[in-house]
Amino acid sequence: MPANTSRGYSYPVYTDPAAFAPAMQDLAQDIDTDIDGILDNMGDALNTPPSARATGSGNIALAAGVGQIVGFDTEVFDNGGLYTNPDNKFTIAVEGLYWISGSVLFDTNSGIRLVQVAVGGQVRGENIRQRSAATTSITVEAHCLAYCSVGTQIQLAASSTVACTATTRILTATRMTGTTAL
Amino acid sequence: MPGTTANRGYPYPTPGDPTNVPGDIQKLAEAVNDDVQANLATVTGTVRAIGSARSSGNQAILTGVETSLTYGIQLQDTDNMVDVVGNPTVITTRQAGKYWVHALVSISTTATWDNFVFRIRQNNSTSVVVSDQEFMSTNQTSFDFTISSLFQFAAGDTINATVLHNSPSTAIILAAQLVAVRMAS
Repeated sequence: MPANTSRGYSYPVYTDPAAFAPAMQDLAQDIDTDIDGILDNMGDALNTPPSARATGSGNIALAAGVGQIVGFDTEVFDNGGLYTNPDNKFTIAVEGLYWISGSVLFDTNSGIRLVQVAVGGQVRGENIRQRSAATTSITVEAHCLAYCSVGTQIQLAASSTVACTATTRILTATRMTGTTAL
Repeated sequence: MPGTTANRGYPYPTPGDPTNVPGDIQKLAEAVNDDVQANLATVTGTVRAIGSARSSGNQAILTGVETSLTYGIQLQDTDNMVDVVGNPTVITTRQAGKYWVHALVSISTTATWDNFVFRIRQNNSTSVVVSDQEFMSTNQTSFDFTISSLFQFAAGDTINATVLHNSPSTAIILAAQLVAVRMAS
């Protein structure tokens, strides 16, 4: 019975009946399938890395001093199965190092605003802005580069020292590189 | 007559062919070798579209006027995206795709403000990402901003960064940088 290498290439063993041509065909096809898959993966990794952008527009009431995960209601693009509209998270389908950015638009109130990017439940990026009692709203943006394994969830959290409203939200992520075995 | 594999065209003998063990193995080995060599060169030689530029001097920003930042020094440009002489306020995409865009600004303050808005725009119109700062006291002589996002651009779109402030006096941009990297199709 033929044996296989670690990549699945078949070869005859000494006890096998001599059948050179079929053995060569099996080996050639095994290598063909493996190389074809490797090259596809390399091309995909370079040209179509998983990338997504989601936005949210409905108002979210924030109580003073209480952080809250914000949700989204529009999928702008998603080529990696990261987002299912509507939701409050991206879920990683291909492990790797991801660049992640998020922003939240807050309404008009004085106080301190905080936006955090959470990866797997851990804060990986955050930004704090203090504002006066001016009449304009402000947007706070946070970003990070983080390693994400399959199933890792990416979320955006907002908080404020005074009660206010979060309006427009944006969350983006793109895979920069990875360690997936080819 | 030798056969070939379905995807890559690697040769193998069929049962009716004359037996030539070393010759057949050599043909297969060379075919795999040439295929891997050619495709690795293509894949590893692929260069992302990257454009980046930075400012070459201070830039004055009038109160209450959203103003595009100007870049006088090209940093990287792998896709003819940067033209600091003919069009020094933008990076122009040459291919459609999803670009990671990033902007930095360092700005001096000489008076109390309560609003500063830093933004990246598509075609000087659609807001890609925005960040605001308020409540600047006079003892804060300068501050830096970075913003970034991922956004879908068409071929020929321009990317620019703008600032808007309400300081009683003209603000001075000490440094600025704009980066766009095509991540996906």
